[in-house]
Amino acid sequence: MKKDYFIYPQTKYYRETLELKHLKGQNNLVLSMIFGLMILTVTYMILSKYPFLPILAFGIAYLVIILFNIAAIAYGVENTYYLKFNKYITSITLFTLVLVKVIYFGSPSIIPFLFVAYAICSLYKDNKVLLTISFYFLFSMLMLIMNFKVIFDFENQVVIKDLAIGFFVIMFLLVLMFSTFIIIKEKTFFYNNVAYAKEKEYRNLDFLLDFKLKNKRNDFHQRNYYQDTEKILDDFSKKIEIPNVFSEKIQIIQDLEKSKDYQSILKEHPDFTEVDLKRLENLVINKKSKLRRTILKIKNSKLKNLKTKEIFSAIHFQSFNKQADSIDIKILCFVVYYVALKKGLPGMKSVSNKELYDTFVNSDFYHFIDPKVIRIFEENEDVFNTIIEDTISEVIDND
Amino acid sequence: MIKFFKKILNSEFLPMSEVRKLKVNVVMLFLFVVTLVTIPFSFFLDYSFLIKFLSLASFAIAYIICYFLIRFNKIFGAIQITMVYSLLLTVFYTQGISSFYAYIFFYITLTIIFFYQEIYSYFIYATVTLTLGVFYTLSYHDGLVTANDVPGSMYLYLGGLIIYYVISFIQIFGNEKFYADMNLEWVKLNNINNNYQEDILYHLEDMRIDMKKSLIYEDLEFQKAAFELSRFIADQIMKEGKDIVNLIDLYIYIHEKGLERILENDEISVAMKKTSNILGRYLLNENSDMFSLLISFYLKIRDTEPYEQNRYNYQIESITDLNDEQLIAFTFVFLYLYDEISETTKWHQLEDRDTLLDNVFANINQEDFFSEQLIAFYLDNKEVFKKRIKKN
Repeated sequence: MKKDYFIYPQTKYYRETLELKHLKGQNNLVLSMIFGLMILTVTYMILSKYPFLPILAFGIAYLVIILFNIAAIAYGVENTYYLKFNKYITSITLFTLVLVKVIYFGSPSIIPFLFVAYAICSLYKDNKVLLTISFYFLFSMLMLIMNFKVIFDFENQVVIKDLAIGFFVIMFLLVLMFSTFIIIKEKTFFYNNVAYAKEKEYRNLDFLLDFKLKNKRNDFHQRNYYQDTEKILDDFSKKIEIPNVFSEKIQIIQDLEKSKDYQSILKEHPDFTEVDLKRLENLVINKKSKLRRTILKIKNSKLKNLKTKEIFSAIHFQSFNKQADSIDIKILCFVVYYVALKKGLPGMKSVSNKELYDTFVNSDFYHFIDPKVIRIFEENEDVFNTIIEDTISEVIDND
Repeated sequence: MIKFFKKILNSEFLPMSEVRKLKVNVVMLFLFVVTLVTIPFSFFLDYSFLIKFLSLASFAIAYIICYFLIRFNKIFGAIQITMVYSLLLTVFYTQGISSFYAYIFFYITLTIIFFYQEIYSYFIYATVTLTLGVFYTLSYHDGLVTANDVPGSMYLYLGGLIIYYVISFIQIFGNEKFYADMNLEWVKLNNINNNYQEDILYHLEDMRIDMKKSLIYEDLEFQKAAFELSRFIADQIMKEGKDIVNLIDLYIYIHEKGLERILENDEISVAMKKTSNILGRYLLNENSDMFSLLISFYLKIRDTEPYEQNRYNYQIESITDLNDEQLIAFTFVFLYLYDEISETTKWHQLEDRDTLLDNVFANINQEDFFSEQLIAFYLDNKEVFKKRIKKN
């Protein structure tokens, strides 16, 4: 069941970025394969002494697809929709071209190249492409069996010819479809999880920064960063014998940290504009700023040497729906999670019923919970709410 | 069956280990259909009755072995058996009949082997399949041609099979690299998120102490709600509610006693230790999966800035493009990190502080944060930085 939205809506943007990054590589790979097929086709036709015109026609047809690909890749740098558009056009035209080859040569020995075309198109790893070419494949085979019987007029006839051809082709198509579909899903798993982890990191940084700025009790940063930075950069200016161009900006950043209003800063520093101040505000150190986020990120980015076993371990996948866990554990996890959110962690508000239901049922979170458990929640939301209201005294429901 | 297809549709939410299991199940289903159809088909194959019977019996046995391997979670073994199974099925068909349809079976087998996306297995089994396919095409060419076939049709059959094998191989190579790269990025991000959550847990605990609140698992209201809800869910799925209540008791007990002490206690049964170990992943007072998912929920409902292209760009260059401001920012970063490290460094390591900071820079992907010019600026002026730090 496809859910309405990602847990973090921003996930979809980074996911798209990842997809596009790989799509460029896939396009190049497909392009080189089509080029290879063109060389093989033309070489075969020349060696088999086919007339010049059909050789030229097939060569041009391949060239058109190749040129279209090159143009789409070039335009794709400016607008990525060209790359997306290209995969549909290339898949359909390549398949059509191979089908024309089967009909033109009238030989079953060309049919395997339909399988090859399918394999090339599946390099795009796109569900819509997969669906289109699967239907096209099925349609092509049916058309060939029904309208071009001569192609299957083998010297060594088998009694169950039509049955066999239908069965094996359908079997092949099914295996190919299922395998490509699941491989696409595997790829999607990574896109989703990397995008999710990226967004979670962004939000974690924000959350942690709020804590750090709120909870000054354990803050050991007693240094005057503005003063020391000025000294270092002054030494640096002297060292390379340039005037100190940093002092004024450091002073402005310090003023911004003290929440001095823009107008008075601009009055004191007439060479600066509001745009400059907005940019410099990102560099304040003791308030929530982009620079402070970067510092926190650097501090936590220490690279650990990861072992292959650790990289591919399933423990990184966090969910309450792990196959290895018993149904009792899955129920316990969901219940503890639900009650903890309703009760609220220290300093956190109790989550509203609406927010909980919406996230559990309508977002990707649905798949993190055992299907049986989530169905019970979905069908008995009122019972859940009543139990919580009866047992927890401080639940605030802001529905 | 509906559950099975739903699982396939939602396989993007399954970790790799579970997808592998799903793949074996898909192949098993496919082999079941083919084997079943092979029984009537075998009447048309050129084998004696005994050979047909023995072959079909062997397939049935292999199928049963495979079933038990999946049941006992020996997925790697099941994968190998299904690949050998399809290979033998191909041999059975291709040696018993000379026709185009048997030739298609090589593609089916190659696709099954490709499906698992295991590079070494593909290299072994797919190469054997290809060799058999080449041998079959060369030996049984007569059954593959039509009356007025094109010249060199045999080479076209060979070419098609070889190209299909090569494309699949290239795909597996590409996917292998893709999986490795993405997995590595994912694990790195998870580790970083884990570090943040460690700090968040610490701050939450601090806040709880300040608010003079009891630990959530000790809260009687929390316990009562958890007992009631779990009993309700257990009733709905016709389960004995007592088991769940006992499990929650154990869960709370682990929080109170600590997982390690329970695992070290000789008086506790192995089964209970095993369950405790699993529950250890879902504790509320540790940086566990449970805590991480709770934080994920809170992060979801927090306000955040709208998405922009460089949302995940932490480079100083992305904050400001002016060189002097980048130098100011870098100096801030340096001083701030120095203080952080100094604070967390033990007294006997005080003399190593300078090298520790170098280590911090060495242990991160510097390009993720600083431009080449900034790194060069730091390296050229290390002494200036150190001089000022020591004065502090």
